[in-house]
Amino acid sequence: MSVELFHGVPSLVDESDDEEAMERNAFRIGAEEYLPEDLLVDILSKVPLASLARFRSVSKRWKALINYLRFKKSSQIMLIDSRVYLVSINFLGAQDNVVNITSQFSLKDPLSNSSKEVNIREVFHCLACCYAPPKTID
Amino acid sequence: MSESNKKISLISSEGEAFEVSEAVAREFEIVAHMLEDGCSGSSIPITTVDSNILGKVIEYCTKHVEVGNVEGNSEKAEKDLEEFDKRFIAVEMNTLFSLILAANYLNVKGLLNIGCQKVADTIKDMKPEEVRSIFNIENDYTPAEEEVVRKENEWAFQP
Repeated sequence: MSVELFHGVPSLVDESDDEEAMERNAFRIGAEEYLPEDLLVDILSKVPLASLARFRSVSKRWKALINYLRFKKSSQIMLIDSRVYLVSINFLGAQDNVVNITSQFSLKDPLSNSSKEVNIREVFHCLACCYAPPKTID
Repeated sequence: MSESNKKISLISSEGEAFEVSEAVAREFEIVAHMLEDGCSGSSIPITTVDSNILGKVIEYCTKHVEVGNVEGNSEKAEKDLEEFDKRFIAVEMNTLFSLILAANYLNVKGLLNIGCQKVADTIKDMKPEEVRSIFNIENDYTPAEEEVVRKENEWAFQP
């Protein structure tokens, strides 16, 4: 299993509001209709991971968006109440730095509350530093 | 409540008026917020949505309000609603995108959700070339770059 380093969330929104920026941040889907990038993110978040891997070769922009989504869907390692948990988090519904944990696994107490809300204090842009592979292979 | 009989006109981009009950109009969160903010006018212009799409969004909201009002037998009602959603969203791609844009603008969350899900289901088995044509995306990779990205994700190209 390979663990990819995460290098930060790409800026999804171009602040300038000229027409050129509109074209950069949206996808033309009709003569005068554009699909905003946040809606594309909504759509892609419902696409299976295998399809997303294939769609990385659609364009450079799609590759950046998909890398971003993979981070959102991935498992994180989190310290809650001084215990280490492997958690999966719904970043898509994040508001004010509060996210919902969609599932969690703890070695100590697997039955602890499984859907609690946590505050993000700090995000370390390095998943690999916490990753400890099982020693069963060698 | 006497208010439930109140009618509201939603005006499409072509100026056509669609008269709906307040309950249906409130399914458009953007309208619900307007009403809560004390906008008491009985006609609300929806300038970015044309008659064809506005009619469809109203049909969706009307059905969902109707089913929401029926008491008892909720399992059957839920199944009916699922069937309705499935039929409702089985439209060609351009219409589907227009429905998603309208649902996003009007803030009809259920419709936005099934619309995005439908696009996701439609594209998930497609080749990158087909996806490009649906979203009008220009391939900005050089052939060599594209080859590298494909190689990295080769497993996902296996049939």
